[in-house]
Amino acid sequence: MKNKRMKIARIECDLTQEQLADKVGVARQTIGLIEAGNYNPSISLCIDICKALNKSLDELFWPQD
Amino acid sequence: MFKKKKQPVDERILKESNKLYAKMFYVIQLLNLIVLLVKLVCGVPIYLYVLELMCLVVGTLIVVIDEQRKGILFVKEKDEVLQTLHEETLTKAFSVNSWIIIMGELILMLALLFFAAEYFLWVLSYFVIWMPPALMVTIASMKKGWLIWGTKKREVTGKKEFIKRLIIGSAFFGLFMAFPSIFRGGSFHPSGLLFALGMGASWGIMFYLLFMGAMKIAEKNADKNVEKQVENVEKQENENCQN
Repeated sequence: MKNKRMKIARIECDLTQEQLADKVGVARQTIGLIEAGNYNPSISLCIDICKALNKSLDELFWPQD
Repeated sequence: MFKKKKQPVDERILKESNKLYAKMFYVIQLLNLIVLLVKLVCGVPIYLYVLELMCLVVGTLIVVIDEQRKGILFVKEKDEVLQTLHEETLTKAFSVNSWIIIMGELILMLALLFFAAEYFLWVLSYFVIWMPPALMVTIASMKKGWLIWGTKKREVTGKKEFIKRLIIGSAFFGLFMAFPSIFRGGSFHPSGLLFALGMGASWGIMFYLLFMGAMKIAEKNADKNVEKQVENVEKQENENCQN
């Protein structure tokens, strides 16, 4: 399932996939795959993404009903 | 608890490539065993198969010790985490085996040149061991898009490191290839150094262009793979909505 909340949060922060990737230290393609819901990031990468986007883990990664 | 200051490489690429390296460990061990048996049958001196023996023993020891340390040595059914740990161990063993073969081959080449030239052609057997896994890893890395710098920062440091290694490798290659010209007839010939420079430079430039070309192809393939996967997710979501 797509992670639309992460994509929205990234756009709200005015960041491109490449900029977010640079901030958290992964490849641009990895961010693309996380947003597409095709890669499950490790908890430490999730935390890095949350910090970069000023969001909590729940806000970005907890599944919605 | 989860604090990790530095991420040396992209975790997704690391995990995916470790899966391949883990398989390559079995391939390199099998090739080692086959080459070792051929050499034993042919009855060559022990120094011509000591590298294969070393790889078989060291590789196995690394797996046993590392997995024992992690407490997963005799765990038969491995979940996702244990499987990742297992693949990390096999990757480590594969990497050590590759270094033993490549560095050992270079040392043996020099030693055979001076002390047992009649056996020199046996060095070719090591290409049989490292070439297939090296080709498989290179092709897969390009195809799956793992051969990328990842971040801008890593691109800058990676390029610097690559050029440094390339210069060392080219110098070594040049000197190695021009060795007979430099020390012709048992005396030193400075003109041979020019030959060494030419050989080193041509090899370095060719390798640089090949590597950069491979990285460009890998970057394109990485984007293609992501696009394909995003398309599949969208298609699946559309189908779910219609249902």
